[in-house]
Amino acid sequence: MDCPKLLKTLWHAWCTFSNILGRVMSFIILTILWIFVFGVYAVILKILSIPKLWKKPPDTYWVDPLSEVPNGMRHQF
Amino acid sequence: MNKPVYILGLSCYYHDSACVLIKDGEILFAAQEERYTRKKQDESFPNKAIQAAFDSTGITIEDISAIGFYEKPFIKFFDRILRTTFKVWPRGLMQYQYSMQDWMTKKLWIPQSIRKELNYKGDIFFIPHHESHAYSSFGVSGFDNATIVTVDGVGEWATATIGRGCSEVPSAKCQVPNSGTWNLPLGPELETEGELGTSKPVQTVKILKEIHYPHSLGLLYSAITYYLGFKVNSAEYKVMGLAPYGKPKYLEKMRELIDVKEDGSFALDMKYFTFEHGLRMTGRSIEKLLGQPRRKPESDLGQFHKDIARSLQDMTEEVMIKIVTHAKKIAPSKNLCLAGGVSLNCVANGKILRSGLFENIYVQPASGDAGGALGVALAIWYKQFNGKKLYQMNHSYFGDEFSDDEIEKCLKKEDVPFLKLSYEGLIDRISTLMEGDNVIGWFQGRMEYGPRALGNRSIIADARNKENWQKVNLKIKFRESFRPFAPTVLEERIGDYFDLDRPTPFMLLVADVHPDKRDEIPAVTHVDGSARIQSINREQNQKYYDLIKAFEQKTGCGVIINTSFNVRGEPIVRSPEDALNCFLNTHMDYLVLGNYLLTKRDIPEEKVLKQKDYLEKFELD
Ligand SMILES: [Fe+2]
Repeated sequence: MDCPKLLKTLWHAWCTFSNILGRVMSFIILTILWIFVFGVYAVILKILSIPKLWKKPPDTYWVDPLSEVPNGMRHQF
Repeated sequence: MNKPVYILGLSCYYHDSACVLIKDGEILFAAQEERYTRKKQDESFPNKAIQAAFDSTGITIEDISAIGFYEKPFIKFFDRILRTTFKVWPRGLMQYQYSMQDWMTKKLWIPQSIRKELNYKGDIFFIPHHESHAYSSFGVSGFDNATIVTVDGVGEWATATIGRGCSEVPSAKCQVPNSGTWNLPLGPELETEGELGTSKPVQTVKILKEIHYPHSLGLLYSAITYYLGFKVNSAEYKVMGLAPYGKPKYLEKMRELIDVKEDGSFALDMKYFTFEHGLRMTGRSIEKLLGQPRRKPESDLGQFHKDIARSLQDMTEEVMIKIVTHAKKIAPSKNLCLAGGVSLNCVANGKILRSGLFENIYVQPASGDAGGALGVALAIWYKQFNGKKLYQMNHSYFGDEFSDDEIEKCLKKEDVPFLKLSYEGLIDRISTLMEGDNVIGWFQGRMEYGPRALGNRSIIADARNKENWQKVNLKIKFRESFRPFAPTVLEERIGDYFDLDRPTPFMLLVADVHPDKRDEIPAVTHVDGSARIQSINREQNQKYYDLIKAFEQKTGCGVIINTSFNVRGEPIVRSPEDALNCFLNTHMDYLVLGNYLLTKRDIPEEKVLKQKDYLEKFELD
C-alpha cells in the first residue's frame, strides 16, 4: 500500500528529529558519565600513580607481549 | 574427497578495509573495499569486496570454513582506549565522545556484524593486530625461518614488535637467546630442547618484544605529516617523497620529540603530541619547538617544510636500522620479514637492505592494515588447520578481472570509438606510442592488492622524457609537482640501471640510479638520484613484461614510468567504467582496456574533460 505523501514527509521529519534527539541525549549521558564515573576513577588512578613520578626511566622501552589466554584465537581479548 | 578449506580474512573499521579469501592455503582473492565504494581508504565493512571474492570464485558463504578478524577489539577498547581516557582526563572529552559512540554502536560488535552482514554461522577467530601483520609477511615469505619486525601507528597496545618466524614441526621447543622458551616450532639457528614432534611442519610466529602506545614511530610520522599540512593515514608517502628536497637541519629537534635507545626502542615526548586526547595530531608545543606554525593544507611548500620532512625521514631510518639490528640479536636469522604501515617506507627498507644485516628481506605488497586481512587468514590456516606452507607471494594480482566481452559492452554503452587489436598487435602499437610524450592508461587482468599499481591498473609513459614527470603530475594526476614517479624495469636489467642486486616486484625498495643512467631516465630519477623500483618478470605479468620488452627492443631502454591509474584523492580504478571515466576527465592520450585501444583525439568533444566535476568527487589527500 502506498503511503500518502504528507505522512511520508511527517515520518521523515520525525526520523530526523529523533536522530538529532538521540545524538543530543547520547552527548549528555556520555558527558555525565565522563564527569562522574570516569572523573572519579581517573582521579583515583592519578593519585595511585604519583609514586611512579619518582621511578627512573627504563633502560629499554621494549616490553614483553601480553600473555595469550587459552584458546585465544576464539576470543576478542 | 575432503572438502576444501576456505578462509576469509577481514580488516575494517579503522582505515583501508579489505578482504582476503584463501582456499587450502592458496590465495584466491584479495582486494580493498575502497576500490568498490570509490572512497579512498574506506574503513567500512568490506561487503562489496567480499561479494566480489564470492563472485570471482563461485563459492557462497556456506563454503567458508572460518572467518578471521585482524585484531582483538576488546583489548583495544577495554584496555587501551579506556585506560588512555582515564590517563588524559579531564582532557579529551571530544575524542571520548566520538570514540564511545563509534565503539558502542559498531566496533564492539564485530562477530555480530560479521554474522549479520554475511549471514554466517561458522567459526570466527581473532588475532592481535601485530600478529596479523607478522603473519601477512612471514606467512607468504616462503622462508623457513625469519626475524620479523612490524612497525605501524598502533594496534591494540603494540606499535612496534620483534618476532620470530619458524617453519618446523610443532611440539619441539625453541630457545631464543634472552627470551626464554616456548612450545613452538624450530628454526635452524635456534637451540633445541626436548624431542622433535612427529607431525608436519607449520609456519608459526612468536612475538618476542613490543613497544606500546602512545610511543609509536608510525604516529610520529603521521603527526609530522599533519604538521606539514598533509592528510594523516594517507599522505605519509608524500612526506617521504618530499624529504630528498630538504636537508636534515631539524634532526636534533626530532630527537626532542622521540627518545631512541641503542636497542631501537623509543618513547615519544608526549608534551609535543595531542593525539592521545585530541582530534588533532599536534598542537602549539610542536610549533614552538620547530619554530613555525602548522602548514595550511594546499598552501605553498617552503624549504622549511622540506627540511622537516628530511629530518623526519632520517630519524625514521635511524630508528628502523636500530630496531632491525636489535631484532637480529634476539631472533637471529638471515631472513627479515617486515610488515606494518611503516614498512611501506621504501626508503627505509632500502637502507635496511644496504646495511647488509640480512641476506634476504621480504615485504608483502599490502603491508599496511589492508594486509591484516591476509595475515589473519594465514594465521588461521597455519594455527587452526596446521596448513601447508605457502610459496613466496611474488605478485599482487588477486583482485577483479574483466573479460573482453565485459570491456566491449562498457565501451559500447558509453558510445566511444575504440579499436580491437591482437595481443601482438597491441604490444607493438603501444610500445611505439609510448615513445616520446604520450601518456597511456594501461588496464589489464586482475587488480592489484595493496596500495601500489603494479602493471594492471597503471598509467605508463616514457621514462626518458623528463617532461613526462610534470605532464603526468599536473595534467593527469592533478597532484603536487614535487611528487616523484616510480620506474618499472625488466627484472634482468635491474643491475644495468640501479644499484640493486635483486628483484623488487612490489615497489617497496628504493635504490640509487647509476650516475651514468640518470640522464637516460630522468622522469623516474628523484632529485637525490634515487628511484622507487618495481621489477617485473614474465611469470609475474606476461603482458606488462612483453610491453616493456618491446619498448626496450625499439628504444634500448628497459625502464618505463609506472604510476597508479587514478587522480589525486581517487582510489585506483577497478573496472573498465572507472578507467574510462578517469581517462575522459584527464589529459591522458591513450587508454588500453584489455586488447582495446582508445585514442583521446578520436573521442567526441562533449565526452571529454569535464574534470572539474570529476575531481570534486574525490577528497584531496
Ligand atoms: Fe597496523
